[in-house]
Amino acid sequence: MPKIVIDGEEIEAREGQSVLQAASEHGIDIPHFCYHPRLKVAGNCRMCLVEIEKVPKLQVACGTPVREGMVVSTSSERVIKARRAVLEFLLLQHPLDCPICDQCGECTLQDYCFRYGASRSRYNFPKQRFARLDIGPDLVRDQNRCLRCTRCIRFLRDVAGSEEFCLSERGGHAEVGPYLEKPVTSPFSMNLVEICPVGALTSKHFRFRGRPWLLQQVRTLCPGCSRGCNVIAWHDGRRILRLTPAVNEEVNREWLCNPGRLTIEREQDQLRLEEESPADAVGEAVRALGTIPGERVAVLVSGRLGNEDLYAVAKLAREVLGTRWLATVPVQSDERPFGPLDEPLPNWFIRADKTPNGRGAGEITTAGEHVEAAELARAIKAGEVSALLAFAANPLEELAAEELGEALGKLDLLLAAATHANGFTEMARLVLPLSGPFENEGSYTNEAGRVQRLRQVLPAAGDRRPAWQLAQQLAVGLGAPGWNFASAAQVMAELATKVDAFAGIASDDLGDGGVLLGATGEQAAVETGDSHARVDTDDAH
Amino acid sequence: MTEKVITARFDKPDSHLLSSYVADGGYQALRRALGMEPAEIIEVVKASGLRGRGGAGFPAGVKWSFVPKDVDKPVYLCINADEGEPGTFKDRAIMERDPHALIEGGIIAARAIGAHLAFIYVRGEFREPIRRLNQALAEARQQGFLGRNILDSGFDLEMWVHPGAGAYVCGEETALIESNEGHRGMPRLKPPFPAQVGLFGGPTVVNNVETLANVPHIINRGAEWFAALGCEKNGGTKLFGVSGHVKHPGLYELPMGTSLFEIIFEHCGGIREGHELKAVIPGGSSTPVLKPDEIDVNMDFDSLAKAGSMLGSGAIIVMDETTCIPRVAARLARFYAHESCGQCTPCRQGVPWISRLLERLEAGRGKPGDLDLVLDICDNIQGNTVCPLGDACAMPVRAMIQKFRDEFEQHITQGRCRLGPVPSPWPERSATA
Repeated sequence: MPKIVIDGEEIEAREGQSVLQAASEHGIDIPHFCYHPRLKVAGNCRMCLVEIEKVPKLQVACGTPVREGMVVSTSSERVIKARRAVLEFLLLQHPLDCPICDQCGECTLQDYCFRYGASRSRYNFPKQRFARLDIGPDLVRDQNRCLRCTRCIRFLRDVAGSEEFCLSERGGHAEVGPYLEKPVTSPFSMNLVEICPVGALTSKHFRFRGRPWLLQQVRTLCPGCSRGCNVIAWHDGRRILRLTPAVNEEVNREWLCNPGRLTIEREQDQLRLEEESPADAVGEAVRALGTIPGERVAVLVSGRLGNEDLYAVAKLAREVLGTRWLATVPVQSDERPFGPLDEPLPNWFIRADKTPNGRGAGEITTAGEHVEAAELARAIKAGEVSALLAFAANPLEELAAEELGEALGKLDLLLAAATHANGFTEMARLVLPLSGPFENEGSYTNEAGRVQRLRQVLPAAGDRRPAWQLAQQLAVGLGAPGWNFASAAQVMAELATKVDAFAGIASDDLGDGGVLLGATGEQAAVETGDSHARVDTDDAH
Repeated sequence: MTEKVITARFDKPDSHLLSSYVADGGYQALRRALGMEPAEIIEVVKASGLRGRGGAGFPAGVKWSFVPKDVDKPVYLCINADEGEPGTFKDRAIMERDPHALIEGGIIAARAIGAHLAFIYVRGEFREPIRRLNQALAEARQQGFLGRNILDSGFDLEMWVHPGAGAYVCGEETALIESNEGHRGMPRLKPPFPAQVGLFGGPTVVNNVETLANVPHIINRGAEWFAALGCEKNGGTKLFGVSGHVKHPGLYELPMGTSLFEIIFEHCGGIREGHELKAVIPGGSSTPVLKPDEIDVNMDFDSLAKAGSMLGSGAIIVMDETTCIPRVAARLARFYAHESCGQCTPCRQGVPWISRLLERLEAGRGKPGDLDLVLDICDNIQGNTVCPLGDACAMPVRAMIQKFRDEFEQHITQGRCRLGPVPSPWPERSATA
């Protein structure tokens, strides 16, 4: 444990750390652009130059390992001059049009110029301008704003495993961009929006739609696949405008894939079921179910539902309807290990199972009487059931049984509880709209068995409601006693006592890190947050 | 008449062929070195006072001793033949006239550091040296001086020529290593230093051509003999490439520590007829300029450092009174702006800025304050970059402004050069074109 002194403060650093890492762990901010705690050190921006006693030249804090007895100054006259010089150099060719730059408010260069820079430029030549280059459907590259810190190059090459960016040309003409000007294909390319410290790489999907300081942030989960990446949903009170990754070391570190980021488009699009048809669909569903013997009603669920929804629907099937025909749609299995994230595999951390709670669906349906999906399909075709209630599931596609459509057409009752219109909602007699993942409180269990908190970002519009509420309305309508859940948390409280795998889990204990199934409450809560110290400018992303 | 070491064989017919080299006693040093322990070779070279001839003047034996013993990675030798410093033309002569001296020195160095693979990284424009080196390597391989079990010593070494692709910065040792690996030639961040992590991750020594060409002579004739050729702490002779306004420009081999005055006025015959000395760049374009009253200086690493300049590569550029110093400064800055790799901020942004300011000034459109601005930019670049390329621009430009400030100011105040307009390097264009 080498002891070093930074700005007069003695700190205990760890062996092998750089001066910058040691400083930031102790709350001393050394400004930097090219350094990123999860990328290889480049040392090219020269912003983190510090003075070290007995070393004649200033040294980059990011690339200088700590040594016992080292005395470092981050604010000597020489350091301040060098830092201002680096900012001046970076601004020579950088446009001074922050108000029309989409990075404004989240720009490291902007922040540092306020903090350390001079307010006047000594450069009186025309600024250099680079040609526009379209690099694909997700990103806008503005080379004029680029600092050549090469974070993007290093992220794609060393972290995401797709070497698509490079430094080309030389000296002041040096450009950062895709090889041979090809569009970027990595499904992780949108991480570059946060990786880039300035507005050189911005999101085509978010650009000019909202100013970050006017948006509200809610930490929740990505519904895109079974990894369960933690996200920040940024909304303006009416719409979610972007998803950005939230740190969870066990799940997604601080990355988020492009399809995950774009789940907000599907969840908020025109095909979303907005209203009930007919006016009293729940009442009609209750009346229809009253005419069919409960044991001849089949219930199909999927991992698109939260743990609480699944429990309530399973309870409806088993205790109210008294049917054995409860099934969950099959989960797409993934042969690649779930983690760790260190070795980029093809598609890296994107999982094959595209439902966020396939694991939870499996755990909850198999905890009591149930059938396999194939068995249910057989029963439908054999006429052994008279009604099918599908919750966030499309039996036409997800039961993967041939000629099922015709068999379904012969049933007495088809009820679709869904967020979006699909082939099955078209043919179902009753369609009940469900609220989506960004409108619900609850939890998902990811593929590794981590139960994580889903938070409501925006309230559901119209009659859209979570599936647990719908199940309760049906149960109450059918005259079942004892259904009085007031919140998803209350459903979870009962779930934890009824399904062994969830024993000891409570909504309020999930925190930001989630809890592993089978782990007892206290040990299971995971520290998330930023275990590696970060400067506040990075946190803004 | 001083003793010639490196250039002794230069004027012999077919000096580049193995037969001629062996007839002059070539590869005897190798036989001797193969009978020595590596540590013994290093001690001899240390004692000789041989310092790196590429410019930095680091003691060669000490550099070799930095290679860690018992590493599990292969050790490499890179021979820096990327002679690119403007004004320098010494390594090319060695490779063309006496390539076997370089190869023999390289084999001995490889033996000393435990390398079994060596690369000669040659500047891509050096077509003829590359041809001769390849020819010489083929000869050496055929005679068993390279390959497996060299001269039955049990020591294996392969040596290859790796031509560069035209970047000045690849003469910087870590950029050379990157380029040698097949990457874009950009200097690496240090630490780690090449002696620990170099080519392909293995410990690597990078030595200049002239440095290694001295090694066989040191092994043959002893460290004391070599040290006595030069001056204190600067063993041996040095190749000086003298260019510019002297009567007899050319390549001169003289003892380390020969005075600059003597080189210009005795060996090179003085300034061309009817002109007088105005300025001398003593060690290649990146070294600070000297005025006529400063040339009574000994040409060795320490004396020049004391005089505020550097021995560098020993490329002496002599300028008489017809030279416009601002024009020289602008031209140099443009060269360094062109050659900056673009990796780090101060060099990428600062050097082109200096270049534009100096070109504007030289064209008579300079503004008051420009000179102090240039000096401040030099200050902001120097020492703050990944590699010394930024310094290589800042140092000579600063020295020129400090020593010839009147001339720069005269360009600003009078809006033109006292020496008349710049002759255009391009053919005249007709007005209608």
